[in-house]
Amino acid sequence: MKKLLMGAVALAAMSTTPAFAVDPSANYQVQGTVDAACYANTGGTIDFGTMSIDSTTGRLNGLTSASSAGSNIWCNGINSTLSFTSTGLLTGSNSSGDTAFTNVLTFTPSVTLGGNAVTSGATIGAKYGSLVVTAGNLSDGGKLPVAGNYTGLITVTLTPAA
Amino acid sequence: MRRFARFIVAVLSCMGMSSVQAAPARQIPYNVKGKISSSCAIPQAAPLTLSTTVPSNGKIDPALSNMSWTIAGWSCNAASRISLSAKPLRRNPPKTSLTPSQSQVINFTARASGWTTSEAKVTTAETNPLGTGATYTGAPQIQNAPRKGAITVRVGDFTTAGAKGNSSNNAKPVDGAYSATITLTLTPSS
Repeated sequence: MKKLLMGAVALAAMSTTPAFAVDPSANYQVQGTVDAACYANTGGTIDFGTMSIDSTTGRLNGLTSASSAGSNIWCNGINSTLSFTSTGLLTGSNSSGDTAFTNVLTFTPSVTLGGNAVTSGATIGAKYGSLVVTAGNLSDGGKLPVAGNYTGLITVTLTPAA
Repeated sequence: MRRFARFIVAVLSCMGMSSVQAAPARQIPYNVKGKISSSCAIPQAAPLTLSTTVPSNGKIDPALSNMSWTIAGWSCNAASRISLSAKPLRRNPPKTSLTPSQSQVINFTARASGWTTSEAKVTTAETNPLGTGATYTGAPQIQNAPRKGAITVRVGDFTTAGAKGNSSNNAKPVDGAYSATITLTLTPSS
C-alpha cells in the first residue's frame, strides 16, 4: 500500500505545469529597395535623306519632317521625367558668301512615347514604351540652301525619380 | 518580456531601412542629317523675238547687233557651268531651193554675261545657204561659288550663210520670217 502511494506522488509530480512560460513567437519584416532607374538604347539617327529642291526657285520643297526608328525605353520611378534639347539647326558643310544662300536649316524637335506626344520636361512616371524622335518644320528661312551634307543633334534625357 | 522583444525587433528594423536612390539620368543622342544635292534653278523664259526689215540694199539691219534680253531668277547652290548652244536664224518655213546668191540662213553670235567673269558665247557657222538645222555649242564657263542672279543674253555679228556668187560677199537673205533657237545651259559642276 505504501508503494502504491509513492507511485501516486510520482504521477502528481510529472503532471505539474511550470510556473513561468515564455512566448516563442517573433515578427520578421522582409524588406528591400529598388532604386529608380531609366533605360534607353544608345540613340539613333533622323535622316532627311536627299532633300528636294524646287527646280525653279531653288528652295526646299520636299519633306519637312523626319523621324527616328522606334526604340523601347523604360523608367520605373513614378516621378521620372523626359526632356529633350536641340539646337534646332541643321548645319551644312559648305557655305557661300552670297546672302541669298544659307547653310543653316531650322527644325523643331518633338518626341512621342508609346505613340503619345511628350512635351519636354514632362513627368512620364513609371513607363515602358517605344520612343520616337522627330525633327519637324524643316525650313530654309526663305533662302536657297547650299549644296552639301547637313547635320544636327537632338538629345533626349530620361531622369529617374521615385 | 513581450514588449521588450517587440522593441528590439522595431529598432533592428529601423537600423536596416534605407531611402530609395535614383540612378543617374540617361542622355540619348539622335543625330539629324540630310543632304542637299547640287542643282540649278532655271526660270521659265518666254520666247524672245527680234524683228527687222531688210532694206533695198539687201543687207541685214545693223541695229540687230547687240540686242539683248535679261532674264532674272537663275540660281545654282554649288559651283556651276554655263554654256550656250544655238541654231542659226533660218527662214521659217524653209524653202527647198533658192536663187543663186541668196540665203535663208543667218549666222550670229550669242553671248551670255552676268554669271561668270568671262562671258559664255556661241557662234553659229552654217555654210549651206539652205541650212541644215545643225546646232552649235560654245565653250562652257565656270562659276566657282553658289550664285543667284540674272543672265543677259546678247546677239550680234549677223552674217548670211553662203557667198554671193564667186565673190567674197555674203549671200542676200530671202524674204520671210526667220527663227532661231538659243539654249542656255546651266549645270552644277561639282
